[in-house]
Amino acid sequence: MKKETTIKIYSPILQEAHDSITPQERAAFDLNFSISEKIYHTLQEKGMSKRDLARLTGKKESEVSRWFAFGHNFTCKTIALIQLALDVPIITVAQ
Amino acid sequence: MLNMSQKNIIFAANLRYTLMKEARLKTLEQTDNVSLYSICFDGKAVSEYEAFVQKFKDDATLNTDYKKIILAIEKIVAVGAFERFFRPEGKISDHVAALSIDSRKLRLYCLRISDQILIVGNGGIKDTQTYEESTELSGYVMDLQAFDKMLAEAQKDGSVTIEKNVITGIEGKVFQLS
Repeated sequence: MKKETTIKIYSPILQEAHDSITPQERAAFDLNFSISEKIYHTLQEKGMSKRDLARLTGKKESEVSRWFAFGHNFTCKTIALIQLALDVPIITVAQ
Repeated sequence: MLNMSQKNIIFAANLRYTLMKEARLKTLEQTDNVSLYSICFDGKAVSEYEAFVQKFKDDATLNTDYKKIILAIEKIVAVGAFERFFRPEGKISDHVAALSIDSRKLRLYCLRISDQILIVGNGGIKDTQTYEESTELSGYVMDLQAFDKMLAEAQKDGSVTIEKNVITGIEGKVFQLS
């Protein structure tokens, strides 16, 4: 994943929109985005498609597509299912 | 074969497009890697994306979906406008795409020019199966398709150039709708 840089916002309307997001909302969004990106890159590395992931997890392709859409809220149950299907840790918890 | 209702929707969308005469490109956000633009039609100071933001910012029932869109655009400007972040809409030959968000209610349409340049349009509530069935949404898609054509023509005649994350030649430029 590319390193994030500072955003210059020229529109006061958009500045206000960005400012309306709480730190908790942004943190939750970022966490879900990182999980989604980790799954995407794991599939790329393994030469697998979303269809393969659907087959391995026993989920419909439409549901798997939602995992890659912005703002999807992953549950621990879903993450565990994906980890087992791909045999890769998607998230690790600090000890 | 189109039914009467579909014909009316296309007529209304075409009428909206015909009534518009000119457009300008406005820079909204920028990083070293990505630039975000939007379109101002007919001398309006507020761009299409800003109009979308103003339309939904105080809508309590759509607040969650609205915030997903704001955060998604923020993320794209930070990391890149990658193809996987969008769903193709419009025609194969154009750059029109819908932002891929986990929402059954809201849609936002864009022109994904490259990984480094995104032109955001307008959007609205998705209450039909396809955008073609909605007068409002098909109007936004047609706006973007029309602008996409004008941008391609401006690149061809050399008045506008696109390099990396910058579109040059847009300062004061008015794109005439033909």
